[in-house]
Amino acid sequence: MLFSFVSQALRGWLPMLLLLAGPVRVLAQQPATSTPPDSVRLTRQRHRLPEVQVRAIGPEQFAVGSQRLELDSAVLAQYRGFSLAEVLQARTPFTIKNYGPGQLATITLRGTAAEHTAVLWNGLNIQLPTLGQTDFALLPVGATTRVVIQPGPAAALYGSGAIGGTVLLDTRPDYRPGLHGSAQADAGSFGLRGSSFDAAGATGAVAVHLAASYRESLNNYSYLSPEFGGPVRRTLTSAALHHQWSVAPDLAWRLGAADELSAAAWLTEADRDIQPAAGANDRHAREFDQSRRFMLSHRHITSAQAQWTVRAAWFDDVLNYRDDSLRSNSRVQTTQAQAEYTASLGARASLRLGAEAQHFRAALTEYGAAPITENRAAAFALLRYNPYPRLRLTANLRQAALPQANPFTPTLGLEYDLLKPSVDSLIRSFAHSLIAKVSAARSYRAPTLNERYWQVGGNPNLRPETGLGYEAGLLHCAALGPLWELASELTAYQQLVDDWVQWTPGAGGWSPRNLRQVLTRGLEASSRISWRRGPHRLNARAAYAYTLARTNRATPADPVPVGMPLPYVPAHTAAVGLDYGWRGWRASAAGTFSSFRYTDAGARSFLPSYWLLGGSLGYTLTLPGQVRALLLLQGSNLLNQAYDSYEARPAPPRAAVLSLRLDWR
Amino acid sequence: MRFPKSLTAPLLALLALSGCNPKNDAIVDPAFDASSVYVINEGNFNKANGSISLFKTSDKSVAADVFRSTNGRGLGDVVQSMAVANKLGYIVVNNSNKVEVVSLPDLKSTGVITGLRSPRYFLPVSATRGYVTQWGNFSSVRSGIKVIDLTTNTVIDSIATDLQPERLVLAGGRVFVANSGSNTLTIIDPATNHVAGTLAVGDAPNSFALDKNGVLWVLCGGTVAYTASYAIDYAATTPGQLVSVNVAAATVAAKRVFGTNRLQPNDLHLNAAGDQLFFRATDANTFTGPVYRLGIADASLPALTAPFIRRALYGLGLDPRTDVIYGGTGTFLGTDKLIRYQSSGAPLDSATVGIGPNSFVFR
Repeated sequence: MLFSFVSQALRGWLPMLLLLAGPVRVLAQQPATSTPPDSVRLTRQRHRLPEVQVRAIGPEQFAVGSQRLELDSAVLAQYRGFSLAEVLQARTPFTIKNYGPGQLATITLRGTAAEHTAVLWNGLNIQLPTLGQTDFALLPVGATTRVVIQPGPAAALYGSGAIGGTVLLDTRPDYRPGLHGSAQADAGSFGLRGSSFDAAGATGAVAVHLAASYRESLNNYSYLSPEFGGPVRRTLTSAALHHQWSVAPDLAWRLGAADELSAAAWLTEADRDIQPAAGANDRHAREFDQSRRFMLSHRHITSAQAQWTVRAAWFDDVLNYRDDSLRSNSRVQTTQAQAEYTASLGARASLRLGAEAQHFRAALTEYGAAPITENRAAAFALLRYNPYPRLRLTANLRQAALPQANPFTPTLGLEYDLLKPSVDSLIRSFAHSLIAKVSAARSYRAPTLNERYWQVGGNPNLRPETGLGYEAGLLHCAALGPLWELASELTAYQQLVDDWVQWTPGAGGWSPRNLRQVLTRGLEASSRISWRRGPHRLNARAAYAYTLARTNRATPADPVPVGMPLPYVPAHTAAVGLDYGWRGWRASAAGTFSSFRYTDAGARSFLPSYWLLGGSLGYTLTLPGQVRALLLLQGSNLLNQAYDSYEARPAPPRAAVLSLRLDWR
Repeated sequence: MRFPKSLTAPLLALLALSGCNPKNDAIVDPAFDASSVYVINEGNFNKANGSISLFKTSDKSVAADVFRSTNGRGLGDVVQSMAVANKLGYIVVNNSNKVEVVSLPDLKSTGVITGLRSPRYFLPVSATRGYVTQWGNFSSVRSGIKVIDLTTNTVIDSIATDLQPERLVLAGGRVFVANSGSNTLTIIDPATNHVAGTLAVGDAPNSFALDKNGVLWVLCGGTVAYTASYAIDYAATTPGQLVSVNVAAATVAAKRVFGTNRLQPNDLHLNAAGDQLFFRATDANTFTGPVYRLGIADASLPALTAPFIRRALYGLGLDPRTDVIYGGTGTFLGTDKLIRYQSSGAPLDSATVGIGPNSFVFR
């Protein structure tokens, strides 16, 4: 069937297109009359496809009307050993605010701040509770099998922090029987050395997976420093990544036909210099980060229409900073539990009810002698309803209970098939689908532990930030003949974030305060095309984002006037890419663009726009004994642009990494 | 596939945007006049975004980051102060370990003094010599003064002081240095670069004023103590003092202690007549605080709860021709302002300047 083919092909496509696979797959599997709810479909499939008998129903099933972008294992494999920050910079138009290679890197989704992107690992928020941010340089990509970015507010689904968007990191069990593994070694410019290892085995009832990686880098590249008498070439010092490793084992175990137990751990550690501003005093700043994350989950199918999932997790995050005059140590332990019940309501609707609780215990130099504790809880209800075959609806809500306030965050979503391939078109080789998407969502961010407990200035009365956002989009997929496939998406959004928090000086010193309302508004356009003929495979992608973020309303205490653009939010970003494969060869080119970014809240100074070009060339050789060897050369900043991604931090010049990977089976 | 015409406009717009950066709004007026005031904007620590704005009292215009627009590069990290000697400006860039030398009034770069470590303030002591106080790095490089040959812009000598020397002043043919990390002044003979003596004043002396009678006023902030968690330990923090020094005898004439240790007096200035002292008393957390006024003949210190200007300021200056008071805010967000007050303390006007305006240089 053509649409099965479309669906299959789409699944093989590269990231941005994959967000299209969801709806198209629904088309492909739909009977002519109505769409059965997922849990029903899953149970129907049980007899045919035993491996999906206790498959999880992801939260994305309730994210109707939202945009999703997926980096699957095929893409992630190309970037094994790299950090998530580097992959997102290379493959997406999202803005990463990066102090330098391997250095602090935070994301800006839809014009919001670093604290406004929730990062979930297997459904559990892993944002550092003290800072409320996630440093994407600390997350090696090899540890997860899937990365999904869902821009836009989605607090009902993902909880605190899902204001600008959500990044979902998942490890998915692979029950295909057998053993397979791979090992990779990397060497690159400026002292980059890395290695990674991945092994998996399954019996059909038990699936085990282990991913590990190591990296170090001197980052001793040169840059031009403007000085008296003309530019002087200087070498970057005190920017080394001394070591970084990640170990991620996971285990999934089917207990009969109705139960699945899974356990996962993710241990990461990094020891790095924090580079000073170019030309400034070197205070020998160094940061040690260590995270240990453990998760246990049990899924139980109670009937053909319902399943339970319970999860428990324990995280231990250490962040120790020191420089010539300061020593600041922190350790936060997070204990959390989640339970959710998913059931189908008739043939057209499914409902998920759940609750979660988090307990934080944090010991920080700046919190004083005694550790502090804080509890947060939330309950949620997610409903998906397909009244007609062409129409899909969701209504989700979450009620959070925080020490300061209890934000209530509903979401409404709608998808409608404006254009659906008719049965007639199936016999032709030319078919279109066009889906309209609309959603509205409230969102919130709980004040971070630093904002509440930092001495001096911690503000225990800080209110959670809350957002109200809307988006509308069109998704077009087309099979242009038997060889070409095209998918495009256009989304417009707007969000108002209230009680925006800013540290400002005032009575009682520097303190975080709920100062203003921020308006973000933008357009996101992306398009992908793929072509496949014989041994040739070609994928091209282009994505563009227009982002406007400015203060919309200010309280009298706000030193920033209304109408100011937010710092480090470029108005225009774009990413283009081309991947080509022929037999064992693969080649790729990727370009990213960022327009100028203001570096201060008063829009006084800025960093200029830049274009970056990257590329790679690889060859896979099949060796005896089910072994394949891949030799891959990757280059970044090929045009050797001099630019600063962050104020006074010169970004790396042209650089290369050579990798050798051996895959067994 | 035919290229859709409807896409032409947006694509062209995108191309046009790609090279488009905002124009630098600093247009330097070549006719600098007597109404020019240089606003020293410290910038954010470790972001190398210190700058100098040019404010003109004649039309109240502000030119931002004049050094950058003149020289095509930024000043550096933490612009601490600027002094004028031989019609040249000496801009001390603390965390970039340098003094940028510029011609006036256009701030055109004419040299740079390196070989410094955390420099703070510059004082010309003769036509060919200048002193720079520097804090060192608390380990290998000690606090002290670097002696600069102004003809070559090089360091030619060093003078040891007590910890963290701040402002310095020439009085009675000798240089008095405020050692803010101790309770002393170092007194130096500029002819020989030798230390002539050390005078105990109050804890953490930071600034001077030489009044119309030749009395040297020394403002001492008091020592701020911290707990293990870097919070301020007010049980161990000493209150500030105002000390008057007999310059010729190099002795303390009088000491007066402020009534509270919650604010640290800092940044002493004198009016044009030389009979009124102005200073800020700052919060140890934000380094901003209100402004106080005191006559040189006043019997008692002003209560720090009763300021002359209530607004918490990061920078303070007095126009020597008009006694107009210049204040700088300290949000460090890029929205800082110069606020001007009449000599009565009534607000006059304000203008947006660079990040963290800490002082003003009048021509």
